[in-house]
Amino acid sequence: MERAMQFIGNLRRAAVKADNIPYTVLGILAFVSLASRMILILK
Amino acid sequence: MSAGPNPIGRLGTVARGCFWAVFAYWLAYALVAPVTNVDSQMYNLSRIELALRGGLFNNGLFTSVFQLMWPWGFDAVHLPFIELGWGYALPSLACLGGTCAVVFLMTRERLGADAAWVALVALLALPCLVYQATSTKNDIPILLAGAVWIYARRRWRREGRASHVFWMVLSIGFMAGSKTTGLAYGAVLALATLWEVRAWPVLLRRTAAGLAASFVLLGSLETYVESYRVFRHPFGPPATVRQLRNPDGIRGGMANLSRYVAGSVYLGQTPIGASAPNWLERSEAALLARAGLFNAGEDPRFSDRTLRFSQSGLEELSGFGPVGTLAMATVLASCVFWRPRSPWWRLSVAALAGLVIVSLCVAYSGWANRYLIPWYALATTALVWALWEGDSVPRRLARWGFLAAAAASAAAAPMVSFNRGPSALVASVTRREEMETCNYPLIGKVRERLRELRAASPGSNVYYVACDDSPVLPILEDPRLDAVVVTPQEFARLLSSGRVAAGDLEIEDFDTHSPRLTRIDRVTAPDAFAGRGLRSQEIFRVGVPDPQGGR
Repeated sequence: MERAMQFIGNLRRAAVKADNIPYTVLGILAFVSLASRMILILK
Repeated sequence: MSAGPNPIGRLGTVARGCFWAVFAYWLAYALVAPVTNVDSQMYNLSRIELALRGGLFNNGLFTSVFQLMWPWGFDAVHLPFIELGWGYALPSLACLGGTCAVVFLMTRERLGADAAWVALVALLALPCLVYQATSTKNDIPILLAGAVWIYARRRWRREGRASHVFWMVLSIGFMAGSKTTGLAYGAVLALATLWEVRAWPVLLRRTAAGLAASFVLLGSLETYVESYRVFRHPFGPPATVRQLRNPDGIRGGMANLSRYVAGSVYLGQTPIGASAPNWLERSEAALLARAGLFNAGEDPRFSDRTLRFSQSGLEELSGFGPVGTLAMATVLASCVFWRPRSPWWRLSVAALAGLVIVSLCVAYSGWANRYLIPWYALATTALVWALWEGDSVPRRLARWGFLAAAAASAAAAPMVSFNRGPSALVASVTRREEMETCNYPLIGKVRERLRELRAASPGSNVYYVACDDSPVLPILEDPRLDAVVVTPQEFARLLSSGRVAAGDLEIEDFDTHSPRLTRIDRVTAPDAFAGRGLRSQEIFRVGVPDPQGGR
């Protein structure tokens, strides 16, 4: 649990770093796209 | 974004203020604007609404081939916003924001913070780009994915960490899933990615596997499968696909490139709808005729006889403004000057290559500008980089002059648009339904009239017999109508099976010629695309079965 929280914390810190903003934007859109498509396909 | 290690000067400070002011406006617009785009109402988002009711595969609720044949990776991103009812344009604005971040970081690294902020203002000065960034169409994710690929490649080369290759691979999958043209660009970038890692066999194998996984997970594979099942072709009905492709090979490509170059010249705003051709449009048509390229490469629905380079403020019919003209001039300059060591020149040549690919592959149409946004963004960045090559008093003056022009264009972009200015921003909150149908007012009027008729006869159902080009979303999502949107074949089946009852209401975009329908009203509204034109739609009431009856 502690390691998972640490991983999430590291991920959050990396995501908001200025150098990683392009990756964060693409990652969020790709994740939402995948999740939404799964929901729609499985309807 | 912070200013970073490079000190920011006065030019950069002014540009930063301009950028954030304009970007904040667009953010406010993206938060409140409803789905105004007609394509989205026809298929991009209406199919999400329909898939929510019946899934993707074997869904009999789909009413348009376009709801089936295009990849839907980016359309699906709008699902949470459809549920929420607000913020529909946020995914597109996020694409612009991500692209701006790439341009900022790469420009600052090379040329400093001043150039980086000026480059961002220049991007916001491209009307077609910002209109797409505040829309629900799926052209701008191609730009974001391409920008992230370039950025990740730069960092991979600089830092040598495999995590950057992961982002290159992810961007390719996202690009392929967003739009059919993204599949073509993605194939080229996939080969380039494999070439980048060719010296590391283990990484090469993992990258190849990653590309396959990325396509399966993000590439909208399911829409290609469903399209093949329905049309026997993964890209849709072959006749429709042919209509959208350049039909004349290299001749068509040359003609299209010539139209794009001529269309980049900004001569001021043009009215929406029919108008007399200006000297530029007449000259381009005459040039094409003289070169034997008249109508070459065009979508069959268009002709050089009615060639228009629209700058109307409507998202489908807008070019790239004065900064776009300068960006195209930069691209043309790269054909004249040989500067392979200059970064601006390499960006320009890449933009030119993109324009050539679009010209060769896609048929020319009146709304083709949105296919060009990645290449205009690249060319605009090249223009800014060219301004920063060397340092002299005239060059510094030119930078200030360019910033003034770009800032004015960026501020003007919402003002010259009939549905993106401050009054539209207010209307998005106060007169939301009217704003939703501002591009196609007829459907709004029909919706209002149907509500009145349904309220007068409770229990009656509303049927909308739709064709490929029907803007079904405003009717579909209205809980007061609870309308059934059907194809003509499905409606005929429902009629014959007795599921459609006497007293039910019907509107149709495809003449069903059913003798059981009696016209009870005719609704007329302005046609936003035709300027002064009008459109009308009839509302029918279903009668009892009567073999002698008729309309």
